[in-house]
Amino acid sequence: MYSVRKVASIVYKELLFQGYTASRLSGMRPANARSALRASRLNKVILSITYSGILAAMSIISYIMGKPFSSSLEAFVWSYFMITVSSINMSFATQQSGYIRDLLFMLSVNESDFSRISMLSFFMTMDFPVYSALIVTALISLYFGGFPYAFIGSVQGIALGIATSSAFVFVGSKGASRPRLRSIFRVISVLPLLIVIMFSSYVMQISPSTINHVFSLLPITSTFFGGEGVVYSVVTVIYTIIFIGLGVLLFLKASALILSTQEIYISTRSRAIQGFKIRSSIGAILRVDMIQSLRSRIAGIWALPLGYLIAAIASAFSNGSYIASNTFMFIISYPLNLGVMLSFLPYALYLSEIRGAIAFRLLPISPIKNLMSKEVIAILAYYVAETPMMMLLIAYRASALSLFPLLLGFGPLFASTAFMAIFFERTVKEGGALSTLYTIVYGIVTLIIEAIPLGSFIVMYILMHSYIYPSFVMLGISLAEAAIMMVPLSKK
Amino acid sequence: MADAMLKVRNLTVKYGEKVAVSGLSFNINGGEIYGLLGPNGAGKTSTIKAILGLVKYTGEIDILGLGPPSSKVMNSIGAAMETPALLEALTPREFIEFVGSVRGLFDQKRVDALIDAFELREYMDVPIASLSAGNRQKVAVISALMHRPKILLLDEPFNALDVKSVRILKELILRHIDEGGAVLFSTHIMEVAEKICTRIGIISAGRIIVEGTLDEIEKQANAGNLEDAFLKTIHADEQIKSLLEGL
Repeated sequence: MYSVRKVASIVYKELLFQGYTASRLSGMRPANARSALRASRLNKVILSITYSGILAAMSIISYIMGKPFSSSLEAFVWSYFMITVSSINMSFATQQSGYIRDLLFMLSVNESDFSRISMLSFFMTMDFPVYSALIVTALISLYFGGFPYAFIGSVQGIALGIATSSAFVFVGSKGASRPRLRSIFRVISVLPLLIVIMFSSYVMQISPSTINHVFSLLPITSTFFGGEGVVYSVVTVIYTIIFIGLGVLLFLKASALILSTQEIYISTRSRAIQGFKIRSSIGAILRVDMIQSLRSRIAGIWALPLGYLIAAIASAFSNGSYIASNTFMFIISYPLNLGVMLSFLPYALYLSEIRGAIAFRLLPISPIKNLMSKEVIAILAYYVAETPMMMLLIAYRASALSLFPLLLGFGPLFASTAFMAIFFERTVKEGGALSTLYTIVYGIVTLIIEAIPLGSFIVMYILMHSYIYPSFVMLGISLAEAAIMMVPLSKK
Repeated sequence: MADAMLKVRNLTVKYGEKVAVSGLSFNINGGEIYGLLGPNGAGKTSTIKAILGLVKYTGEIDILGLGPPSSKVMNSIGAAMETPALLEALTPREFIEFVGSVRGLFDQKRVDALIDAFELREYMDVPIASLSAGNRQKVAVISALMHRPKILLLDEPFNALDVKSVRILKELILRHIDEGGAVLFSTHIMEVAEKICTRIGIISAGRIIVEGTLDEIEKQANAGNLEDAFLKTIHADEQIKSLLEGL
């Protein structure tokens, strides 16, 4: 006789391995399966300890600074983050888990045990993070007393984190039949987290008495007001119950799918003979990059500009005078910061290419030509993202000259993209996976490449109190950096 | 051999300490199908990958007199790898559009004929990730043949293909050499090699141990067919006998 728990833990291990493999940006199977599995399991523990530590530190700081309400948002963000990060791989595993069901069936595992096995194995992906977040926030709330901001925030974060991961499993199990649905879901799923993360850096500057009371009726931010009166507490509790209900419902639905028979995709669309659309070489690479990025797990990166924009608008909405009175700080905090954040885009585009790197290598695509398509996407994304920021500056009557850094601020992104091309070429040569040390070095060098022009802009602005010359210097330094990066690429 | 379309001299490929290919040399002329035969792990795939510039190597590779592999010579090569080199997020239609656009060589009539020959039409809008192994292989083969390359590099090209597709591919390879093209292909299916190869190189542990026409190889091994000649050449015939006795 078998034990359901034991079978569940074996299924969990297999799902963990499949999820880990499928989630690798390179798409390549790990060379050492045993160490990959060990690393996946260790990751869950390390992630729980690390993020619980951050959660605890941020919540305690909030209490010490006399702003206990902000601990709710800190607890929410880090709890949500822990749950989704630790269990998101499950959505990749479910795309190819049909054989596990078949195997269990052939081994005479009772079909009535399948739902318990899948529920348990799914929960095992997030058990540590759930326990650690709840214990840490409960202790903090008990210690400081009053309205349990941190604990409520954590419960909400866990519930929505489970709901998000479950939704990912649900969408993932749809296999190939809903590629568009999957792409859209991937993009929008990261949006709430982005907004909340960006808003969390701002939350320490505010208090329930100074921010717009519309926030007291909104999910998540309503918790700020939980301790302000019974009505507010009731609103918070209602939202918490809704989140828990949503989390439980989606968890049950998703876990039922983990070991369900896989959906086989048989297209029923009419097969009229269609022609082929032939494009320019760079246009074709550009299109393929877009398709690959939108159909992969990195699709959420496209939500980044939108997340920043919403956060910028929210900060303007809650404290509009901030933009007009402190334009320079606003430019650094949002538009220029956004430019730096957008460097994830070409990075992600290159990584999505690693799996199909051989297909690229069999075609007459030089590294420079490949880089050009990434630069085009990066710059387009930059201006699409910065245009609303410029409109925000104009709307709040900031100086027209303050638009210069935004207009010319694509430079650091341009330079870091060129460096990513070098990183990509090296990664492909090494078979799709680089050592951790090299990846860390790459991250540091990228930061330096972006920091030099941005730092020059900030220093020159402080010295000159002008936007024009520092903006041109920032662009000039960036272009010089990019030119240096292109030398080794042109030799390949 | 001044007119050789592909020249390989002292090719060595190493993965860390492991030597996958060791000092390999051969030429392939126009109108020739060179079969690279060998057991698993002999170095066949590594040789093809090196010719395509996909792995680090030492030695000399000259493609059509234009030098070593680079993006400049890729329009003259059609390659289908053992694990099809495809972009799985794309559909076959999107992939073929991409390949045609980047190459700047697209013959709609030929592409349509290839799609129909390999019966891929109904899968043209299904993501490649969802296709069966056989259909993936067909996409890879079509993208290797669609631009009428001068050199074909085919690594186990018949893997997962159905009987009809195997026959069509064999005929297309033969037609390719009739038109003056060159083919390097690796396989461990002796019957296929026997039927279509004009020259064969038997590779073991990264070295070519015998090279010649089918007749020459069979004569040298004193065997009646390629399979027996191959097994004798790599000294596996006696080993098989003793292994079978133990079963």
